[in-house]
Amino acid sequence: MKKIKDMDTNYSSDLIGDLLNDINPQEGARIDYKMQLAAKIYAGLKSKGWKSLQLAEALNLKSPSLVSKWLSGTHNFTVDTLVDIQQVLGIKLIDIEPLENEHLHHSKAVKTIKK
Amino acid sequence: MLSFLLRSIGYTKKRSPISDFYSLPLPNDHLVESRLVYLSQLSGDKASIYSIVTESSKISFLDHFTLEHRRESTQDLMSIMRRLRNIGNTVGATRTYFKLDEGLAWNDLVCALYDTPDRHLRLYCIRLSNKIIVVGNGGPKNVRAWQDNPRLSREVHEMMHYSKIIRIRLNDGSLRVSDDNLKFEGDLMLTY
Repeated sequence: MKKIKDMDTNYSSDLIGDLLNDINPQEGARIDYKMQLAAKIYAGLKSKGWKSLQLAEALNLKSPSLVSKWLSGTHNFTVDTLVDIQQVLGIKLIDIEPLENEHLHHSKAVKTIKK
Repeated sequence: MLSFLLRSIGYTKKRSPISDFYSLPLPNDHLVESRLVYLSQLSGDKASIYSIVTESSKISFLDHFTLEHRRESTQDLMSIMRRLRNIGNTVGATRTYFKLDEGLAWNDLVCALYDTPDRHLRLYCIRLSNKIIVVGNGGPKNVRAWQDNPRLSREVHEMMHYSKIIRIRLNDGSLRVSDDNLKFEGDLMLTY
């Protein structure tokens, strides 16, 4: 068996590969979104020159520890919380575009076909 | 004697967070042969995820962690791997993803990846920067502080031990960080 000093620096393992492959797409997307939301909020904080404490104060939170949870990339946000955060930081976390007529027409067309 | 040893490894008496560490005694298990390995399935252009292998086992600490907890904590492990891959490929090793200052010394860079809420599978790491982390081992944290659990205590001390070696080696130049700050270069052996 190879000595570790002779091993390839690049290391991969079936254990890690299996775990990455076995995660279902919905759960994977949830994890990705939580991390990216945290990244956006952290970027918003930095661009305002704020620390967690100032965000906590702006939102009348009892403690900045809740902000740490938000930024951990594991927090399951409510829409209320996201709306509050984006308002005080001046960033966009939820993108709500008005429904375009094109989409409405498409829905009507689908209904007509179904009939 | 100690000062002679420190000089022989290139220690200079400049004042820096790293230099404060050299006044600490070396751990007893410093003869375990070990080296850094680059986890290619998790690393990417945002951050490099390293782990450590030892001569006696030849699999990474992260694999040990996975083997030990995959039966009772599969979902947690999946979440951890997915988050590590995100760190490597999408978001980088931003400090907020880690519970910082888990080690005993203020400058040892030992931290833990945040647990998923209501679960407590803790993975200890050394966060060198936004672009390089070294992942170790861990376990379920069902106590207030890791000091209350012998197993977690062992894992944190192990990471403190390796953190110290890595930073000594970075200081003496035998281990280096690449120009783009993304990779370790030089001798990845950590035996000290």
